[in-house]
Amino acid sequence: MTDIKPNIKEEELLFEEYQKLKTFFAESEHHKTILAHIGNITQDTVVTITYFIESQLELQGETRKRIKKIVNASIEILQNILYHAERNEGGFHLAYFFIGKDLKKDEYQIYSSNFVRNDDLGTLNNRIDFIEESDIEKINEKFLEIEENAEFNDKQGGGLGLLTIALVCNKNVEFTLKKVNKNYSLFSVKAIV
Amino acid sequence: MMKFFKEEEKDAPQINFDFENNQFSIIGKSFPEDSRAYYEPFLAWLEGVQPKAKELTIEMKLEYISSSSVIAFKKIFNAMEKWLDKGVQITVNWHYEADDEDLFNLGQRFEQSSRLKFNFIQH
Repeated sequence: MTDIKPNIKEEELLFEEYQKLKTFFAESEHHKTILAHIGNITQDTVVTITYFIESQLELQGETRKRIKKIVNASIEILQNILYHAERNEGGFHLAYFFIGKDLKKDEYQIYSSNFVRNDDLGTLNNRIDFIEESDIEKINEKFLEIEENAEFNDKQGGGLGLLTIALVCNKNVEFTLKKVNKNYSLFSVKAIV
Repeated sequence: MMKFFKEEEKDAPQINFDFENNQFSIIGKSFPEDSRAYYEPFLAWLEGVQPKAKELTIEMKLEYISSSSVIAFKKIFNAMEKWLDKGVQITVNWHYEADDEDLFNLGQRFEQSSRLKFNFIQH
């Protein structure tokens, strides 16, 4: 099977989205950028980003409740990229991760976007549909069901990641999939805390 | 070996299970890249050890638990449930920050799916 990696055109698409987001948060007087990252995600990146968020928000006097929620959601979003995002020919993830604050609404907005293979869309779509159709109680039940039946050899969480993001954000989360070519789609997350 | 000890890492907790001194704890953050690789040696030890105590209390003081670690913890609790059948009384002290509703809820989900006794300790 020929494995066609996302070409430069699709990489530019991700970069443009990221730039738009950065510019909007930089230019809007009601918004503030907390953290912006584009490129590869390793476990070291996950650790560095989570420690950075925690210390930055503590310095800004944010409540522990919110800090914990933002870090919890960030760990799940970043590790989801680490485990599942497609990489370019150089072996690096094509992904961005961004946290900003809407000062008017007093809410933190966490954005991420990465490429996934169209072959994997079935499972991902099912998981997204389930979250959209379910209330918190049903998501909790599903969490328990997966936790009970997951095999230990599933080092990546067996589907608990998206459920965890939904629970942490009290379902204030949007997952979107956008096909960019016959092989790849952009998977984007917007979570609000 | 009546003791299992693993040093804390920046993304993984300290594990101290010591039957000689009757001290049992898991402390720190838990979001390693590969939870299976981190917890498998501990799980293998738990499954092989013959608990020499009638009562034991496990202190769980965790700050963050990734979803991939949740499965590891479930397997750990399952392994300890087998000790109940050998007459060992087990209590899990689940510590959480007062404002951390997610960690509290996670503990409640573990309690719901386990035969172990859970105490919830707010800080």
